[in-house]
Amino acid sequence: MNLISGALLYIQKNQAEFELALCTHLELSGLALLFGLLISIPLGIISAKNNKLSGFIMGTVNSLRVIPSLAILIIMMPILGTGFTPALIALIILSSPPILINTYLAFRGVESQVIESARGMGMDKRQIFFRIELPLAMPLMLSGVRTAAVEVISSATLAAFIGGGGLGTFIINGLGLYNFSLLLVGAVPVALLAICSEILFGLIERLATK
Amino acid sequence: MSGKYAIVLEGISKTFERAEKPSVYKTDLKIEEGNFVTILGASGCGKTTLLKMVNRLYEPSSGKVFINGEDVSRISPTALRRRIGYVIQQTGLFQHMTVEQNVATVPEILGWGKEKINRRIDELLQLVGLPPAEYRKRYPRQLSGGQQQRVGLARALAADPSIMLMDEPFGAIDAINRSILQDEILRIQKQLNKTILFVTHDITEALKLGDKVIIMNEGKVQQYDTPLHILRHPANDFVKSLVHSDDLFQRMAFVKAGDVMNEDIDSQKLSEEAPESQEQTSLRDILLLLISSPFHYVKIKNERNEMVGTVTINEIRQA
Repeated sequence: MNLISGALLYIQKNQAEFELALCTHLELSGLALLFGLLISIPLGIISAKNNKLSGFIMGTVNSLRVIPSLAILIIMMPILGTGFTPALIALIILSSPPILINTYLAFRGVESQVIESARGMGMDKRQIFFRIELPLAMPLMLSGVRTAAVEVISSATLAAFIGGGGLGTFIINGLGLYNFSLLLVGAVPVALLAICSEILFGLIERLATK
Repeated sequence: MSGKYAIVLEGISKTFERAEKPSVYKTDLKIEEGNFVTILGASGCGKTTLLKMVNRLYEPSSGKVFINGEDVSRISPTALRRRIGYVIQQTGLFQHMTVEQNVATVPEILGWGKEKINRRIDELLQLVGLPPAEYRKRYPRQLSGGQQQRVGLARALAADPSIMLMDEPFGAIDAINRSILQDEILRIQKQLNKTILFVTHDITEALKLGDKVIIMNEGKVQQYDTPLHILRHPANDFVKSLVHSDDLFQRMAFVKAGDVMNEDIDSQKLSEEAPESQEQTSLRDILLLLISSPFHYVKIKNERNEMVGTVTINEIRQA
């Protein structure tokens, strides 16, 4: 109980600092997810349509997936230094495997007969893409985005290690100072954010599948 | 080009990339307007390839295709396909769209008004035997295989194309429903007078549906004729063995009562109680009726239930 009241007290006293960390965290996660979508969805679609590229792209992504999040963040340091931008880039890299792989599988999964019948009815490539392939691929794609969102929000905590800010700062400081209340100030909001995003994207997913 | 032919193939052939021999050898065919033509052959004989060259899903390696007198290579593939109905096996429906959205596909691409599309959907679902009020809002996965294929048919008919291409549309449907759907497509074709090119590997289906049948083997047309003529005068040994023309009982299954009946009914005194049947009935079934009745003839009626002829054992012998 003392831990929690201590945490609340800390937030009350340092409201500006907490809000800044929360905003940075959200900004970091949101931007990482946004750029991740912009990069990974087109790449996933290209991989699904082009057999030559798919081997290369999917191979790269699968090997990326093996590297732990912290390692990716640390690798960024000697290359890009510390701060917000390197953290953002690391998170974009982290977000890409689930989105890319699911997009690839979703587009691969559209039955060839359905596309043939769309062609046979006189749809052009654009119409086939927007009216047939995209809606049919959407549910699986969204579930990839959901996984990526949760992963990015949790991994953004580690951004603090390379001076990227965010709620992770409290966790690191809390660990360093052996102050568990301070640790909770970072940990609980991160957990809540992850859960909320899971619920939010689950909802979007269900709406799109209907 | 002559206008009365709906589809004309001139020296059409198709060799796929890296294939050793052509899928379709040089072929000439003329399909008359309003004809129901079936293409019969085993898988890999080139029947689907031939079909797909008509709406340019495949481009021929040589030769020309004309529809209603127009060279199809001068029409853009998408514009061409919007003018031709296309039905494939079962799974061609768009699973993420309702029945009405599926049916509205081509009219929407063509930019019809909402009212017109709505009326058309009702009309078509009525035509294929799916009451609109009940089926419009359903998704394909909520329908049986036979119902899905009815939607597929309605969708292909949506923009009222004069030509329909059908690629084994009933291939994945159970025997009972297939027979019902065959009767339906015959009825619809008679009613709307469409030109239909229909690919199948089922001999009974080909002979039952086709005004004319194209028999294909190894990329070549073996015979293109009426079912009766094919049965009586098979062009070569391949056709002969395919339609079992030397097996009388087998052959009787393919010959329809309407093809051989004695149409001179005025001179005969026909009994009320004599057995009756339809023009479409096979001679095998007619023979069964004959054997099981005390009369020496079976009365034949047409679709409007009018008496049009009789069949006796003599007519069956001549088949």
